[in-house]
Amino acid sequence: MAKQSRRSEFLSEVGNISAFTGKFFREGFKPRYEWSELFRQCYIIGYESFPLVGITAFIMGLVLTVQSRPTLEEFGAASYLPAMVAVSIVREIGPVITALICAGKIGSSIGAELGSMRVTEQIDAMEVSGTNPFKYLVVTRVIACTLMLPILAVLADGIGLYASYIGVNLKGIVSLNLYKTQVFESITFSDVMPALVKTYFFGFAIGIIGSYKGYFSNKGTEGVGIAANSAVVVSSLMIFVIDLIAVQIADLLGLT
Amino acid sequence: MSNEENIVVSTQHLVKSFGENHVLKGFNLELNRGENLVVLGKSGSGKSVLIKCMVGLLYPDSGSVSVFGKEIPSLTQLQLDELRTKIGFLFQSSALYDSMTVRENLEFPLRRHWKHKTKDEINELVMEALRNVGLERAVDLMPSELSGGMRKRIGLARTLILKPEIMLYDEPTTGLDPITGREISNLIVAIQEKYQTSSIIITHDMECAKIVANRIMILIDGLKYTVGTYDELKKSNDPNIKPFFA
Amino acid sequence: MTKTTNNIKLGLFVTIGTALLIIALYLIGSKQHLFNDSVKLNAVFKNVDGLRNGNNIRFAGITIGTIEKIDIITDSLVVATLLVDKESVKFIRKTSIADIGSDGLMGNKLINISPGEPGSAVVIENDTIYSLAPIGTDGLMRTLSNTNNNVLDITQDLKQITKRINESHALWDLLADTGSTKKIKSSIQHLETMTSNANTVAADVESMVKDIKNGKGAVGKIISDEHTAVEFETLLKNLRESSDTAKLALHHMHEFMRDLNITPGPLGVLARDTAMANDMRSMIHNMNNSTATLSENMKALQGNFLFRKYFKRQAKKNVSGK
Repeated sequence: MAKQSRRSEFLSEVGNISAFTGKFFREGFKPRYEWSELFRQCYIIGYESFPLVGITAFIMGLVLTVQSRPTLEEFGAASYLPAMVAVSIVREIGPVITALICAGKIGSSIGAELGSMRVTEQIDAMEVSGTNPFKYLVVTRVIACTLMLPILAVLADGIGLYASYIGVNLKGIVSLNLYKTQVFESITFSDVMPALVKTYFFGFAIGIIGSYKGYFSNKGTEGVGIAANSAVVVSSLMIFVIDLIAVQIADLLGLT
Repeated sequence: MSNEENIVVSTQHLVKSFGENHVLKGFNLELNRGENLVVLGKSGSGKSVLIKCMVGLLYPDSGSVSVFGKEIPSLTQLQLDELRTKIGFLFQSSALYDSMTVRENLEFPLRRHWKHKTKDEINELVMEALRNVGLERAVDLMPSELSGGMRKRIGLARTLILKPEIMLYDEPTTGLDPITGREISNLIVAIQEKYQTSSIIITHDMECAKIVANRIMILIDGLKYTVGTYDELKKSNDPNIKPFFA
Repeated sequence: MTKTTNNIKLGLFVTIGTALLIIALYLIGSKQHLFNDSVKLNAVFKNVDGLRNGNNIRFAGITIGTIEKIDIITDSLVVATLLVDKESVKFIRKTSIADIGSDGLMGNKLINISPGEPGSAVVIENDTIYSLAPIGTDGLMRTLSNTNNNVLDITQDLKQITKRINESHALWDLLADTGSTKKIKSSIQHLETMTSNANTVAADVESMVKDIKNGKGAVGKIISDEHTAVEFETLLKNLRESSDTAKLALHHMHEFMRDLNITPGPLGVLARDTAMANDMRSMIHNMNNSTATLSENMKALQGNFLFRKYFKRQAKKNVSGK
C-alpha cells in the first residue's frame, strides 16, 4: 500500500516536472521578456558561482593529475599524462563537477528563494500586481542557468587544465608549450562538443528542478527547507541521468 | 437598479474545496461601493480563499465571482491583469520582495501598469505612497531591516501606489502588537476616506473589526452565517456569534 | 549604479568564458586542419585496417592533413578521401604511395604518404594515389605466431634428433673411427681430382669440338679414317662408362648423406649394422676405383696418337697463355 502510494507519488512528480517544463517552453518564448531580471540572475548564477566552481576545478585538475601519474608510470606512459587528464577533464570532470557544484549552490538557492517567496505570498503578490511570476521568476532563472552553466564549465575546464599543468610539473618538467601541444592534440571536437551540449542540459535541469521545487513548495517554513534540499538532491541525480543519456547519444552518433 | 450598480464585488454560491477539505460551500457576498466589509471567521475557515478567488489567484469549483460586473473565471490573462490594476491586495505576510529595496518594491507594480512614466514621476509616486503610511525614511532599506508593522505599512503603500478602487486586506493586524494593529486599522479607515475605496477586510481581530467595519459578515462552515454592524452583532445572543465577541 | 557594475562584471565573465571556448575550438580545429585551405585527394586501399574519419595523414613524419571520409567501393576496394593542406600538397606526386601505419604500437591509425618518384607530376585536386597493403598489428601478430609455431616444430625435431644421435653408440663409434674418416677424406679428395680432371676433359673436348667445327687439325682425317673412328668410339664409350660409375658412386654417397640427415630411424639401424659399414667401405673403394679408371681413361686419351698432337698443342697454348 505504502509502496504503491510512493510509486504514484514518484510518477506524479515526474508528470508535474514535465508539465512545468512544458509551461516553461510555452511561457518562455512569448513576450514580455524580463531582460533586467535575466541579467541579474545571470550575474548571480554565473559570476557569483565562479569562485566556487573555479576553486573546485583547480583542485580536481591537480588531484586528478597527481593521482593518475602512478598508474601511467606503471605502464611507462607518463608522457601521456597531459593528454589523458585533458580528455577526462574536458569530457567528464569539468562539466559534471561544475554541474554538481551548481546544483548545490544554485539549485538550493533557487529552491529556497522561490520557496520562501511562495510561502510569504510574494509570488501571489507578483501575480496580483500584473507581473507574470512564472516569467519573472522561473523563466529568467532557467534561462540564466542554461546559459551560464556552459560558460562556467568552459572556465572550469580551463582552470582544471591549468591546475593539471601544475600537477604535471610537480614531478617532472613539461613546458607550457609542450603541454598545450599535447593537450590540444589529444582533444578533438568530438570531445568538446558533446561535453558542451551536455552542460546546457545540466543547466536547464538545475534551473527547472530548483524552480519547480521552490515554486510549488508547500506552505510553511519547513516547506522552504524541503524545497531547497530536494532541489539539490533531484537535480544532482538528474545530472547523472543526463550524463548517462548524453554518453549513449554521443556513442550512437560516433562521437567517442 | 441603482443598488445593483452600487455593488462592486459579488459572489454567488461560491464553492471551493481542496481535496476532501470543503472550504467554501456556496458562499454569497456583496460589497457595496465605498464600504468596509469585515469578514469574520475562524482560522482555516476559508476567508483567504474567498478573496483570492476575487483576484484570480484561485479559481472556484463552481458559483460565480464578479468584480465590476466581470466574471473573474471567464477572463483572459490580459483582461485579468487589466482588472487587477483596480484591485489592491494586502497579503497577510505583507509579501515584500526580499531581494529588492523598499523603493524597488514600490516601483515593481508600476513596471507593468504605468510604463510611460518618467523617473521623476515614479519617484514622486513612491514618495507619496510612503508618505501615506508615514515611512518616507525607509525608502532605501531592505525588507529584512523592517519590523513587522513597518513591513505591513510598506506592503500597504505598495498596494496603494496603483490607486486601486477595491482593497482586499488579508488579516491586516495578525502578528502585530495591539498598538501597531490599531495603527494599521486606523490607516485602513484613512485610506477609505482619502481614496473612497471599497474594502473587504478578512480578520479575526475584533478590535480591528470594531475600528474599520461598516458591516460585518460572519463565515461559518463555508457559508455566510449572518451580516450586520458591529453593534448589532455584539448584542446577539446566538451561540455561534457570541464567541467572536468574548 | 550597482546594477551597471554587475552587468559589467557579467559581461566580463561571459566574454572570458566565450573567448576561452573559441580559442580552444580554434586550437583544436587548427590541429585537425579544419581551418586551413585544403585539397581533396583519394587514396585507394584493399583494407584500411581500422582507419577512421579524422585520422592524421603524414608526409615525411609531419602531419599534413586528415581523413575526411572512408567509403567502401567494392568488396575489395576502399577509398579514403583525404584533406591535405594546400601548402603541403605540392610535395605529393602521382607516384606517391599511401600506406597505413599507426602512431606507436597502440596509437591511432594514420596514413603515411611516401614522396614518390622525383620526376613524376604533382597531384591536383581529386587525384587518386595508390597504396601498399597495410602492415597491421594483426598481420604482424599472425606472421609472428606462424614463425613461433615453426620455431617450435624445429626445436622439437632438433631435440629428437639430438636425443637419437646421443643414444646411437654406433654413430659415435663410426665418428670416432679415424680409419673411416680418413677414407672418407681421401675419397672426397679423389672426387675433387676427378672432378677437376673431368673439367679439363670437358674443356678440352669443347675446344676440340670447336676446332672440328672449324675443320682444323687432324679431325678431318679422323672422320675419313674408319679404323680411327672405331677406336675413337670405344674410347668415348669407356669414358662414358667411367663417368657413369662415378655418377653412381656419387649417387650412393648422396643417398647415404640424405639418410644420415633426414631419416634418423634407419640411421641408427645402419650405423649399428656392421654390414652397412662394410658396404660403405666397399662403396668408397668403388669410388676410388672408378676415379682411378677415369684417370686412366684420360691418360689413354692423352696417349692416343690421334690426340697426342692436340693435347701437346693445348699444353703449349696454356704455357704461352700464362
